[in-house]
Amino acid sequence: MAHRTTLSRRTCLKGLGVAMALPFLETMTWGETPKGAAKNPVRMAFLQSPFGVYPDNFWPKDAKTFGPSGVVPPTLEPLRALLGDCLVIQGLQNPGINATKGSTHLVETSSWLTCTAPKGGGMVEVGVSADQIAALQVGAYTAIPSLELGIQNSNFSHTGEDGFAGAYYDTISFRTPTQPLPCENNPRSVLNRLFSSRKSMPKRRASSGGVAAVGGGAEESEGRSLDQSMLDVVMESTAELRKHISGTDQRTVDEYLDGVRSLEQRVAAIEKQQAEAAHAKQAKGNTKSGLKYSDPIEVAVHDGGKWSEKVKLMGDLMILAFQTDLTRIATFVFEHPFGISYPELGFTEAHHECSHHDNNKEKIEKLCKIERFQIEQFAYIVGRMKGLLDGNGTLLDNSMVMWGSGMGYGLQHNNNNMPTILAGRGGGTIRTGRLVHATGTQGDLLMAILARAGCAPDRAIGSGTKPSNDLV
Amino acid sequence: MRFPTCTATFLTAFLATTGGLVGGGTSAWGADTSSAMLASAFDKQVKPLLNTYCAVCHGTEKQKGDVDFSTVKDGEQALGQLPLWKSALAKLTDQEMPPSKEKKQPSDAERQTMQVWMRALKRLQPPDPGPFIIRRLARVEYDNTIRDLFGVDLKAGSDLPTDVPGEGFGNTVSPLLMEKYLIAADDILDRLILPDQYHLTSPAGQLGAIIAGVPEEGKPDGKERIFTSPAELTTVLSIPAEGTYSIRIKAGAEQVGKEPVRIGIRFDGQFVQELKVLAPTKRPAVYTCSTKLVNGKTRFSVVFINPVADVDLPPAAPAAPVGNGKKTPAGTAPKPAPGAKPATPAKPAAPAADPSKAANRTLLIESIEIVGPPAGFVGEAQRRVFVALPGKDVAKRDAAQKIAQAFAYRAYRRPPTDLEIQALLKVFDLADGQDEVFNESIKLMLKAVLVSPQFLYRTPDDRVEAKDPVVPLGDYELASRLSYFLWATMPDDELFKLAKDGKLHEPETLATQVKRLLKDPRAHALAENFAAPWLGLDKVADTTLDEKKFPGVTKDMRQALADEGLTFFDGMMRESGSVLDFIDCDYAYMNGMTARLYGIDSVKGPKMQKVHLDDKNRGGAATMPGVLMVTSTPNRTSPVKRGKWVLEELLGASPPPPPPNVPALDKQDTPENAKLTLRQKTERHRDDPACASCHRVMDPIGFGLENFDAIGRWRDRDDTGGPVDAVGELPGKQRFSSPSELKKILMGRKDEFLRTFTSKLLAFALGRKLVGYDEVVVEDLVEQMAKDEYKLDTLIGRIVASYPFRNRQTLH
Repeated sequence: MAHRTTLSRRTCLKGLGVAMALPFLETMTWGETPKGAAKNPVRMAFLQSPFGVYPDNFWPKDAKTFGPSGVVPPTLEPLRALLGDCLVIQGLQNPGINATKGSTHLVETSSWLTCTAPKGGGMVEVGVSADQIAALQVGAYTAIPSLELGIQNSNFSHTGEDGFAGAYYDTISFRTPTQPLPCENNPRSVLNRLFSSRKSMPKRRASSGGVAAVGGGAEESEGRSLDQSMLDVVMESTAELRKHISGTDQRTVDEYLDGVRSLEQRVAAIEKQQAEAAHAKQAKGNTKSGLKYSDPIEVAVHDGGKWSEKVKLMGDLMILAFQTDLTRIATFVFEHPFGISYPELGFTEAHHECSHHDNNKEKIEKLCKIERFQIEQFAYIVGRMKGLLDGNGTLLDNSMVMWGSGMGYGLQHNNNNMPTILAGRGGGTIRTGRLVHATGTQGDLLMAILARAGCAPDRAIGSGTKPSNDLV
Repeated sequence: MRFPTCTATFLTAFLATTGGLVGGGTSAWGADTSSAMLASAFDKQVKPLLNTYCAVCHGTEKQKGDVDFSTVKDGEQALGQLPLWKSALAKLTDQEMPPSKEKKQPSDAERQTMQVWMRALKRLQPPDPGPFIIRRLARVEYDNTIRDLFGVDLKAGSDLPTDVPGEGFGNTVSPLLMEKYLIAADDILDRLILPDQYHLTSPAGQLGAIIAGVPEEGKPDGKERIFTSPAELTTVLSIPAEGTYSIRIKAGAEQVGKEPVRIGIRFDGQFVQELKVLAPTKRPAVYTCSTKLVNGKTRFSVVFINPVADVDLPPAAPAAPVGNGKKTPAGTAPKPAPGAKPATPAKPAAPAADPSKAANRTLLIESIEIVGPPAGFVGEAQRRVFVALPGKDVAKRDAAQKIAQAFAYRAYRRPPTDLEIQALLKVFDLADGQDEVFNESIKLMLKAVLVSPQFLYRTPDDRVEAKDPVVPLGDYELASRLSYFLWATMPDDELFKLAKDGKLHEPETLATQVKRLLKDPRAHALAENFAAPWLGLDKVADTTLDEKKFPGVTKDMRQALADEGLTFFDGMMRESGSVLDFIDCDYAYMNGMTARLYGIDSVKGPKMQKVHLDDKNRGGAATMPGVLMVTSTPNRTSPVKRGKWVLEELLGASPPPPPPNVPALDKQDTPENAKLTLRQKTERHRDDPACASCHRVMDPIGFGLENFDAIGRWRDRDDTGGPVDAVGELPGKQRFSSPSELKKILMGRKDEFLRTFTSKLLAFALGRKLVGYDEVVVEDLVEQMAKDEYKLDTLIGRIVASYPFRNRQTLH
């Protein structure tokens, strides 16, 4: 694969891994933001673990004593130093979703960000997920509308239980009611996606026959690249194909066309960002005065490794994408509910097996170890973001990183009291360092989060009705 | 309305069993006759039986399970209630109804009368090939298709999501996937369609060298290199395409002795050509040779053959002829004589040479240049793409049209329409209009093909008149369906030709082609894409195991465990084996590594071998170590998982997912439970009525396999140290106490297995879930198998010949 970086001018290979060094952010300008350019963009990430939590070890007993220097339940201990930047939300419900019957674990994944119940019948049909609702509104400001990350290889086409499509298990992102977005599980693919722009054959002035106009300024980038024009022709020619296919297939072709159009937008966004970066570079004195930005973090991409290493690596890539404003939206599935185990903790009982602990002490102990381990990874990501300057504050200040589960307590397969932690201040719009009891539903919470990132506050998410007030 | 012949057969059988029915000669098997006969048979034969045996619970008084036969007034009405009879048939066949506690039980003959009637009714429905959808290529299909389209295996789809072909395939294309297709297309074309000649020029100083055995890296600003001792200039080249390359070396020398300075050109250590450097160091000249290279990485070296002047050296070998490939060198370079001493007095030294080594010759290499094959003429991929080139008599656009026509024909797997060709030429014009070189314009055009839905999806052949609701597949569509089923790739030339001639659909031709395709190595794709997911062997590589408890299960071992099942399927397919071998057989495939799990010492080496088994407990899919491994937990066996596997994968019964633990059950938990054996713990499932209905069936099957540990080794004692208790019982009082006895019972239920296996394979072949009429097709296939020793290859042939495989629904 040909590597051509969009933002990076220096890419160095170190040993087996790829270590990247990017230019100083000062040479870059932000893409547009929904409400005026002065503010830094607000990023959001949705991180999911399956099977809920073991309540006794997770929930703080007392809101007053809970805090960085107070009483912290064992599962949340890794997050202690960061609790001042977190909002722990208790009693959150996802109404209308019955997780206790039938294919419970595909319900917990597919309803978490959609707040709708998935339909059966072998096909995917569920609500559009919050991250994709956001991607549709603010995704256009960045080169990549949204990132969907995962850890395990999931085979996206197995048939699920009870005639439910297997794809419900594999992702928490649904771009349309019928289009699940597979998670990227390979860090190298994520890296490629972030930093190797496709080489679109540039359009030349036919008369000159000279050098291509790449990054040469806004005028040249107005013209469509040859790739874009080529895709236009391909789209036109599908009209012929449509005559010979059924309604279902026409929908398939529509989705295909939608994919092509989104791709064109992405190509245009990349080209625009490149042009802007080039402009900013030319006008050297024109850096953002008074605001401080950390250098983009270095990420060494490696294959394989332990689960915790993989989560950290994916987390780093996500942070890097946020830092460089390649995207503002990400989902990250820590674990698919297939019942994987964590040998690095010194035992091999699978997470799912432990969640059905039958009040067996040994199993509860192992379950809590796994849950704490997952919180440890969440804490790593949050901590790293807190350590990065992002203009008027830290990257964490300008972000909302939500960790949670679509289930409350795995043993009972219920989904009342879904564990939820929201880290980051959403650009100074969230009062963190608290334990709150939810007054709204999961849908309401997601609406509140999206509104803070510049999305329309009245766009309902599944069963949500109004943005929750719990964040302030 | 047409009926397949089997309907008639079935009705004949029905007539025979029921002692003959109302008139109507056997010659007139029209639809009306059939329905009239069945309606009349219902009134005369079936209705009385329902009244006698079923009406008590499913009649006017009680309607258990919402079933009420009294609402079915007569035969005419009965014909319209297919779902009712389907479920009744299942209950009758499984002896579930009438319940065994009822005293009044139908005789076997009576039971059969009802069953035959219900089966005949199922066949009354018109044949239906099921929903037709255009199918996107799965990743493996994409990879293979690109390979066969260009003739070069690029593994181009490695960045695509890991989807697998088969019944639950997700057809959708997300923007991300679209982007990946575009990146893959760029990547493929960058590697295959060269913008111009491959051209590498480099000053010698920038390349690495080995001087007197010591490697020395090149310098970024290096210029020429001067050698006065045994030396080699060396670098690794990435050759983009197969072809004849010119090598030009600009060099000069200071001669010593009679013999001129000689250099040798090598690729990957193979000697290709020797050159004599006669020009002086002050005025270096270009020395050239050419050689054939294949694409890929190759180490290129220029060797200084005779740095040391030695009068005793043999005269220079005559220049070898141009090598015909790096693998068959034209000659071998004589090695410089080690330790040879300078014999002739020194000549005036070269400016850079060390005067103390004056007896040595001096070689100066200024630069090397390697020029690749003219694009469009060499290499398999280029030969396939560039079927025409612009020239004196051929206009650019005409050549482009010929290329588009030929490429789209193969890429779309059918003749492209005029409009499709026009669209491609429009793309060509986009690039050509801004003075791109011909190859670049072609590249853009090919890119359009590779991201088109016509390539990414298998689309219908529009030459087929689609006026009827159901039409036979066009020959091109049939060719694709066949090749993707058996090879997971596009049709080959022979299939294309038969499609073009309109012959492929002829039954004999089709049968011959199935045989041919199954013999081809590419048919292994069926084992990989169908058998591996079915048996669960695609999970062997990633199954977590407790490494302390099971050391030695290496990556290679896992690979071999998966290969065992694939080779088993492959062997069965190629050797006309019986599918019943999946239940039980007296052989297995193993290599030296996996033989240890079988407790067999005589098998050695990494190669898979077919081994005769004396142990009756082994043999068949359920006792394959790979299968036993994926149905275990990381540190112990799981009778529940194994039982579920046998039920689902071999017997086609799908137990519903377990209900969540209810708090009431939690409270039953006591510390004593920790002391229970695995069997006792598992048997608790059956105390709870909510769990019992499934676990009653599932668990005992799994216990029958308890003699195999979590990686499939035989054991007599389980983890607690006690003897393995492999006793079990299946509903219907079928007792067993060993894997061998369990397999015997399963063999007794072979009809369920045959139905399951056939259904799975048919669903894979059609790329969709089975619905409606497919059930009848499966029944026929199973029936035919029994007459033919259950041969797998015959079954595959019959699936290809089956109605739903050869036909499709249209828009009407």
